Amino acid sequence: MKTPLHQREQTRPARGQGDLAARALSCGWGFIATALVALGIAALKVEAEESDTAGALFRQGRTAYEQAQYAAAAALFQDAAQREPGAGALLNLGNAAWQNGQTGPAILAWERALWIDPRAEAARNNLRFARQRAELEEPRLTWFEVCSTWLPFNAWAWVAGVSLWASLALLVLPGALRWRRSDAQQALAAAAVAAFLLSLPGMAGIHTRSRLGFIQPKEAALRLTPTREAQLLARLPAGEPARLEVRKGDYAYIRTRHAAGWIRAEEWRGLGGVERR
Amino acid sequence: MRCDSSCNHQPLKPRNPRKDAPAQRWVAAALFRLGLGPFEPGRRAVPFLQFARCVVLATAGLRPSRAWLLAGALLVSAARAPAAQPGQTGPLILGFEITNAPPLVATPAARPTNLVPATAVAPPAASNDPAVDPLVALMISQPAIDTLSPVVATAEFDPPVVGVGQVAVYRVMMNALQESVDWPALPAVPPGLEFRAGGRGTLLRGAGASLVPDTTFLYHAQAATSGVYQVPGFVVTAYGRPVAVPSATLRVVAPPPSNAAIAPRLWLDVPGREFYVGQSIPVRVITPPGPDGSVRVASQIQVRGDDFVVDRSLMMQRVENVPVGGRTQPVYVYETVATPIRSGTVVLAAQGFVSSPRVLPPSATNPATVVVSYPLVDSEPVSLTVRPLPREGVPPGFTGAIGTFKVDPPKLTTNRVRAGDPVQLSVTVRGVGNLERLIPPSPVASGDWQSFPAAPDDAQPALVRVRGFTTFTNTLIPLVAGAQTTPPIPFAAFDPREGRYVDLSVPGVEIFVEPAPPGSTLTNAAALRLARTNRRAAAEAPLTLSALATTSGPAVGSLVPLQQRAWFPLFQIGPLAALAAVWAWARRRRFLEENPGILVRRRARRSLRRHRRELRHAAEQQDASAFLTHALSALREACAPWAPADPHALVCADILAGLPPQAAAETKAGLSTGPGRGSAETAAQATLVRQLFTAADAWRYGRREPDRVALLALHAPVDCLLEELYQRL
Repeated sequence: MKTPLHQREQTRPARGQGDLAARALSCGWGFIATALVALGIAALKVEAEESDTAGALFRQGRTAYEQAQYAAAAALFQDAAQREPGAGALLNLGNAAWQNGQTGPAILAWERALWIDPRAEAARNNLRFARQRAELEEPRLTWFEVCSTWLPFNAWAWVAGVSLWASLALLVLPGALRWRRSDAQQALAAAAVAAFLLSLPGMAGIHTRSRLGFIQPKEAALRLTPTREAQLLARLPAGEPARLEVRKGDYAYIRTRHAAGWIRAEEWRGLGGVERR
Repeated sequence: MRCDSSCNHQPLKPRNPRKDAPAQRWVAAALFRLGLGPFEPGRRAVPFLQFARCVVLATAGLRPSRAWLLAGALLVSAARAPAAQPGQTGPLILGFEITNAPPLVATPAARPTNLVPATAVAPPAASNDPAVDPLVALMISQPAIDTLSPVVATAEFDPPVVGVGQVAVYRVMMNALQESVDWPALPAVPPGLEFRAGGRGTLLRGAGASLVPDTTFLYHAQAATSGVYQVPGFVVTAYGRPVAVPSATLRVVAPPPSNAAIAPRLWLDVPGREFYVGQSIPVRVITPPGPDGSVRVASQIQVRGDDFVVDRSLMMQRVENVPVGGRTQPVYVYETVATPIRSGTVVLAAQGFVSSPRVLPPSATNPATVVVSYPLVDSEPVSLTVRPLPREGVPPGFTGAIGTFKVDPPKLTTNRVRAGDPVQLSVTVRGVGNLERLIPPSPVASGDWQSFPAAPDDAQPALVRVRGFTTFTNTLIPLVAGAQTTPPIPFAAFDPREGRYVDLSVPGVEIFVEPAPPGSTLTNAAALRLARTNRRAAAEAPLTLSALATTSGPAVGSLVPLQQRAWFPLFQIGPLAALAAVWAWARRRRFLEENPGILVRRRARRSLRRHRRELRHAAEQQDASAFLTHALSALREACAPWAPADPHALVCADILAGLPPQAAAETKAGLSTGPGRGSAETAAQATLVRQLFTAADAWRYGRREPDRVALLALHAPVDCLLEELYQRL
């Protein structure tokens, strides 16, 4: 049996006490909001500091490169790229590594620059130049991986996400909000669906291309089993493209165009930073 | 149903999405054109274009809900590999063949007619199918190679007795294919004996209806001291089965025996020892004559070594007189061309199967017979020093020509032509070098000429080499009229004798171009010229390392793609939850619209609660007027849903009619506990309501203030009544 309303009303705090409770509640939400804003500001501040540090390292790297101190320049650009991976920093890292005689790290850096910014023509030309000089092959890409090279690596996820939710919204919202169905809505919905479907090959290409990497040292040993004394199958040159298939301890099973086998994990570096996971 | 101006209800016509969506078709057409516009119609873009067309066609003219299903079905069908086609070596994905294995290429070498290729494999069963390829039929007609007989190995030193410092050949022969033998790097060599690996090869000899492979492994042995050296027997694997190689003994004596045989060797003649990468080196392999001066023919001659390629199409063989041992004798000469492909020290060696006839003495039953054997013989290795071509100062037009050349004056088929008509320009290059593999240079890109890639000389490479010149022809089309010259052809060659590049550019030839006939157009000539110029400029520009970037450029937080991060799927929950909430809200709204009473009663409850709070507050403040006002408002709000009417429109009679019928219902159902209880309570409630309205009317119309004490004393019963009305809501 429900409590009579007048009793319920009597148990409720008086107007003054209710105001205090409401105030306390609003203060609690306000505290949480303030804390979130403070955290965001702190995060932005940390990011700004990192950016400043990365910028300083970038400038120092340029100075060292201009003074022909390529090893130091490579180290500075490497540090800058780790703090703030950017196409320009990776391009310069590749140049410094190449001048320092490190073909593998140079090719990896230029490929990563293209991974971030496919319009970086300088990185593309440097890759052609380096592969011609070192007589290396280009990585073989499937058709959907070629599609994925048309946009930056994160763009496909954004396109797919935005188009998917836009199309679902255009499907659900007009009916829910009782908007008058117009041709423009239909067209936008169709365009969003098409955009989502067209982004799927790019997404697939990014996923598979993230496991593409390059050999780092000059003569990396490709072995039959993931052991140090295993039979040597081949010696891979620096900059040779290889795809990661499986990781096991300190070794990784990779596949090149002509061979497949186990290699020490630190001798292979992937485009998508796979080795860090 | 919709209502027109005359309120005649008419049924709505069903919508036709095709007819009602012109904008949708426009978007679909734009996407289709976009898919064709900026993409190169190259091999790799074709599968994506096919997929894109499927998607666009699926969404064009359809409602998005159907587009999902159709596009999904098309995606599945597009990804399915079609049936294998003739000649296909790998799976087809969207028409794009995926293959991992390089195709096998058969390169049969020229050899005497009484021998067969050593690389022949066991032929498949003969087929009576008339559509069988002639080459396959030829292969099928070859006799089978015997791989089932027991493998027997022999080992010997040739000659078995040599002097100190002289070379003897250690020869191991077995009747198995070379590829099936698991041969060690070096047999066990006795101390004091130097071993150096020589040639190895397989010869097929006829034995009845099949061919027997005879494989030979050669080593060259030399000892610095006299003695007897024995290479012990060892075991190798052939066809997966162990084969015992017997031991062999070499006697090294000092001084060397006077009538000792000399180990048979081939002579490798290379003109010079210093060459350049890419330079054609004429190599002659000479087979020494027999002890009686007879010409010995060598078959399956190979020039072995790493880092160079041999052009088999330039092979020539002949018998010529060369000085041997102080006198001129006829010998068999095999000539070919080797091209080094790497700088550094390159080692060449030759091997071949040399005919070696032996006369068997007559026996009681057989006359003297001649038995011909073909032992494998090799040559001394020759070390060459190969230098790279200089990278600096490479002139334009250098296409890999290395040699001493000169260019004849170019010739035009005509010196008078109309604009738009083709004319051929022939250039002849003479000299010594890699003429037979010369890549014709291209004319300089000119806005007034359209040029096509030069057609190389169609003569056989061997003929080109022998005759010493080659001719290539350029087809040119003038685009503008007037007197002019043909575009020059930059051409350069590297002269290995001088060690520098030599400019052999072909100058332009004067020609008069008449205007094009009236009515003809050189369409898009300007665009063609510009595009061609840009393409050539880009193709010929040497690649160099770029300059440093001035800024860090677009940066990202991590190189890991978004879709592979752990939070990305969780991030999708937000919009999903929002859409779900909107959908649920729409459903709720529809439900409330179908049940309007719910909202009315909810509103009434809210208002009733507010008025009761004010009523209580007025009672505490002893404010009779406020008490009366809020009491009546509360009653009106509580009874309005049952009227139904606006609460402000209700009067006392409406309130009395809206009082709870609980007592009447209990009486009717016989549940009343007493004869007068329900009706008494109802009457009391009715009296209470009348009192309130009477007081309100008196105050409003009679200007008489209500009796505060009496009125406020009604707080409790009013509150009970309101509670009952609230429960009813």
